[in-house]
Amino acid sequence: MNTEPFLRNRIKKALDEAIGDLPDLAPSIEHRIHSRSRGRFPVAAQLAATLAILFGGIILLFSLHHSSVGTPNVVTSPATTQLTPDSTPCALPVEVTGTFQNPGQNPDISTTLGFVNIPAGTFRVDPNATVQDLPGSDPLGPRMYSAQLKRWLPASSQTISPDGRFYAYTKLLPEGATYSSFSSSEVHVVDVPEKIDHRVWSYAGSIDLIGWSSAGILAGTVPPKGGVRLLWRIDPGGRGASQAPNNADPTSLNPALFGGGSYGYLGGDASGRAIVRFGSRDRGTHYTVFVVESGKPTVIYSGTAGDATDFDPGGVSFDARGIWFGNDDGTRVWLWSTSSKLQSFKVSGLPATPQRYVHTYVTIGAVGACVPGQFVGVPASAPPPAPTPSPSPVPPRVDWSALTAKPLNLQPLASGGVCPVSAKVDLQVKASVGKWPNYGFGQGPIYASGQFMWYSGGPQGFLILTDPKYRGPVLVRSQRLNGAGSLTFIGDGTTALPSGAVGIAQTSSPPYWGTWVGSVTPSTPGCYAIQFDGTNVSDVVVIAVTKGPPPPG
Amino acid sequence: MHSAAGLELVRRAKEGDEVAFTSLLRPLLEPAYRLAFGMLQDRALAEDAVQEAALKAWRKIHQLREGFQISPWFYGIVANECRMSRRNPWWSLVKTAAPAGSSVAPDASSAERIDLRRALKELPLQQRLVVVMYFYLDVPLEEIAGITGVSFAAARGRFYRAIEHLRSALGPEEAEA
Repeated sequence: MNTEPFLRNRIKKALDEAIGDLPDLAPSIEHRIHSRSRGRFPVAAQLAATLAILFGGIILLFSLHHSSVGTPNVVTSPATTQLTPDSTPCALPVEVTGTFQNPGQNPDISTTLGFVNIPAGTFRVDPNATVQDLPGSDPLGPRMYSAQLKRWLPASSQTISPDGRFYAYTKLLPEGATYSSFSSSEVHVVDVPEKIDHRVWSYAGSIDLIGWSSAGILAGTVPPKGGVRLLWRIDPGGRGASQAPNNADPTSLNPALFGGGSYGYLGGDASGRAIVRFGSRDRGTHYTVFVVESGKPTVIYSGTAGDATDFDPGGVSFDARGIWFGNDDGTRVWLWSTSSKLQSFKVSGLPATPQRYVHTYVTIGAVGACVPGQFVGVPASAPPPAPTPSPSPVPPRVDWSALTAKPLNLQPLASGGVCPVSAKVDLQVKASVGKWPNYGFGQGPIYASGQFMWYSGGPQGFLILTDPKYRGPVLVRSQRLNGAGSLTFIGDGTTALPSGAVGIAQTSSPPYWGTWVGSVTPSTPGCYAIQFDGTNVSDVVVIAVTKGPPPPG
Repeated sequence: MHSAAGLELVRRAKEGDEVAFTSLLRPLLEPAYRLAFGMLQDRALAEDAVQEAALKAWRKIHQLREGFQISPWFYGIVANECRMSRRNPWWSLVKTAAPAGSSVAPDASSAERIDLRRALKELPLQQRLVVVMYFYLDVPLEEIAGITGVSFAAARGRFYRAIEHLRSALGPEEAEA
């Protein structure tokens, strides 16, 4: 993106101008840590553990008593179930977003609107899905399907009226204004069947729409110069607005409801239900997804990110059957209700992954109520492949025998030895095209890059960045240091050599860095060394490969 | 920090060695403060956020997983403190009472920077976090994804949505500069 350097420079200047002198926080922090940690380990820990065991029963009894007199009761959902065959079929409107990228390039993002037929899980594209004919349509804005109106709208579940006939959007004034030039904002309500756009409220500042219920449109406002955010209930009929209390915002929940901590708001509906997630999507992290209704949280699912259930909820929608979820890895959709619990539907027929991309990522979001019946539509087609760089460089011919004759200096680890993982180094990679990571592993001039963590469960992107001070060919060899195992490197412009080695003929082109893009697939978890050999350079990079599949993306 | 010395410091910190912990933490405080300031745009709140994050990190250092770097883990705690600070109702009151600044009219470039800060403030928190880390702290998107606990694609999506907002805020003539 050609505005990146400009923005980076401006943001740094803007924040540096305001931040002033940097405080020396270390002394006070160290003092506070010191004063809190006297006797912390190990005696205090043992004492705390003993006390915890002694008082655990008392606390448990207190908790049970406390919950019986009014504390929100968290209901746990059991394991997932499959939909019974006699369930009424329906078509769930979804937005399928594919993000495809090669390192150093801007991503290509494709969005497809269609339906997933339930229970079969087949995805079909809606060829008539368009919102361009409606006011407030924003290419980056939300999309949803209205079953009542039998069409797609430039709206979300937060901005559509409870009866589904109207939607709201905001507009900056004067016409064509941006956030740096606007003087006021307006809330508009569109009567979709009549195609009439009503201005219902204005404010001398910015407006964000939070929800629409029978009580009106809930919006937040911020004055143009910043300051206190206020909440308003706007009459969709244009009869003004009244200030709403701070606790009216359904996206701002009291974390104490769930035992404290931060949460992510996944969506809500007009009746005030909110879906929240505690715990990150970081693989291995314990997380819980709740639905909060009338201040009462109910557990929809509790598990470990990346576990076999694969509940990775994305876009949320609500209907009489329950709460629908997309999945952030694009493999399935979900339905949850208090009676049937969490049901999973494997999705098929999604757009095929386009060719020549290193990173591909597809998400599904539920964007409306499931419509009775099955949707025919059209099958999804694959997005176009990544463009081939032009002109394509012709790699020089290399006699690899001189490099393969170099000794392999990879010493096995002693039994139980710690893997001597290479430290990350900061780089300033300047290539002829694109933006590249500013880090690498190794001593240089040849660096491994592209990931911070490595996984055994499949291929993952791998970059070899070559400082322009070396411009010759590079031989890549590897070996597991703590047992049997291998790394397999695949990428454009490589020459396969014996013993799993690969040769890269074309590296840097001074003054530009060499940027080889490929993938690495470890055969097993463990500690691996990668040796890079050039005509007059040699370096070893050590990586630790963790068990499990690489995270999506 | 994946060097042998770094791993040893983490191991000692996990065992309760506060000197090891503060040695690990010290180089992270300035970027953490920049992150907090970028998120909150208030020096006092930013200091508070970093102080609280540091204490929480000390209490939770045993949760730092084997082989994980401390910096993204700590920045994640700082970001969370900033989010909590924004949720705290007294924050709004403090902001109201804050002085409006110089009475002298700002020059054009200052006005642009004020506009940009305001545009940053108006970004949703998650987008602002990505923008501040990427542009102000020069953290790569892959690392931001790890810090924020989302996939690389999600972090990238937030980043590009934020860019679109900021480009709008800067106006077309500047976005093309």
